[in-house]
Amino acid sequence: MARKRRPLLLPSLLFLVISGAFLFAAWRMNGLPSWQLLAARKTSASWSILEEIRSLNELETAAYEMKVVFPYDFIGDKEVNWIYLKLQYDREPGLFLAKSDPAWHPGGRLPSDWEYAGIYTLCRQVGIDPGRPDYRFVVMSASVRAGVDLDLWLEEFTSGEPTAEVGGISVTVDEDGKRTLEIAAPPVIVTSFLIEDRDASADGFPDVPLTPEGWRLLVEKLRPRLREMALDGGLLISAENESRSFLTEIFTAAGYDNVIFTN
Amino acid sequence: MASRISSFEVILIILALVLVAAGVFLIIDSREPVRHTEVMEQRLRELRQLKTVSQTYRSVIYVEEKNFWRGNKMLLFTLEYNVTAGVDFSKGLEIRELPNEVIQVRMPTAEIFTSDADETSINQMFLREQPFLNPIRMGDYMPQIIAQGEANRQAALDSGILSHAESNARLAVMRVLKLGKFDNIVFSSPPGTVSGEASDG
Repeated sequence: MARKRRPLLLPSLLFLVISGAFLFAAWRMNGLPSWQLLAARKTSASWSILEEIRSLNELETAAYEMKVVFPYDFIGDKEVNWIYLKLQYDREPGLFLAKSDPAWHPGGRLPSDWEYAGIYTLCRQVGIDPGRPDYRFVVMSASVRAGVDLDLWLEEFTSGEPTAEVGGISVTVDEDGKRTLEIAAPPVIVTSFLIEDRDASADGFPDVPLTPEGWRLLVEKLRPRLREMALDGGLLISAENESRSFLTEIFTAAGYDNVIFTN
Repeated sequence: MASRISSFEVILIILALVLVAAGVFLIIDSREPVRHTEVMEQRLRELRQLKTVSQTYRSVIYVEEKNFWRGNKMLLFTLEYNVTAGVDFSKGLEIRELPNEVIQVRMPTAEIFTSDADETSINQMFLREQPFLNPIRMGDYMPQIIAQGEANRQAALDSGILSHAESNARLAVMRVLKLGKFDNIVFSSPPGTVSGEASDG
């Protein structure tokens, strides 16, 4: 009996495989439509408990606001050899950490290839690998604020009747009847550090795989650097000028002609 | 000899055409351009905010996703929020000298400045994910962090944080003015609020 010929079988199968691959590629690139019955179902819940109420007296007079992109804003304009760092890290992570310390190297200075080993370690700890071409990044909006702690300042004057000797306050009246207040200005400090609670993916940035633990680690490690950037940007100088200006306005509005800060 | 197309081949071809049509639909459906633009540079901003009350909330957040294709994921963690309130003097602080060495102060009403998560307090209790197919992403839990921040803000308002903040602010202004040897200080309500006066001295 002659064998039945099926000339379209092979092309049909090939067509089916190619179509399947096309559909898979389209799904991976564009995602499933939102009405898809088998789409992801998300549930979330949360609750809070009030733990503490504190009274404070912080006059915040300046804020340094910044939007940074991790890790790229933390390497400046330099070309970093991420692949070299990746090879070293993958070979032996424990040794990599030791080599990230300047004390490991002769003269106590990091070689140029190791300059950003600390940033690379942080990247790997939070699940980002700049040594691979996946270009993941995290966008953070931070605000560092500075001003004066009025309670600390006022405590300086509570040890007795405010005079030139106690707390450095003195009031003088000249021959024209103009009153001048001389007073020690309050010291300026960094009062708060805020990372804006914001879903960067809602702004069109990639939704980076990052666990809450990774997010905590990232903020904790980058905090000193962000603070430094704010201080370099003149945060404390601006806060001091604005604090003095504000206090001057208060006392002049209340009747003084001049306010002089003694420090 | 002419060959006939079998029903099996017809099914294969129809199935392949359906797959192509589904792929084309996915591509066309996602062709709507999405643009996000924002202007924000690193900047130094002057403030005049007197923070007088801080409330700390401990929040528990649970997030779960059931996904037929990529696997399920779930997450439980705790974190703290700081809700701060006080008076923003840049909205207008009026100090006037009245007869008999009385100083009249009119301050803006108290407001909540921040209801912000303290990221350094995050304590991840458990996490289940599919590391390659369906990892935990920031977009999974950040909307819930934001929503809980709003809930904490509302809870702070309900607990009367604003009246506490305002009385603390009055006390602070009074103490500062006393450094300038002003003893008779009266507070008047800001315009648009119910009239009322508090005094000291």
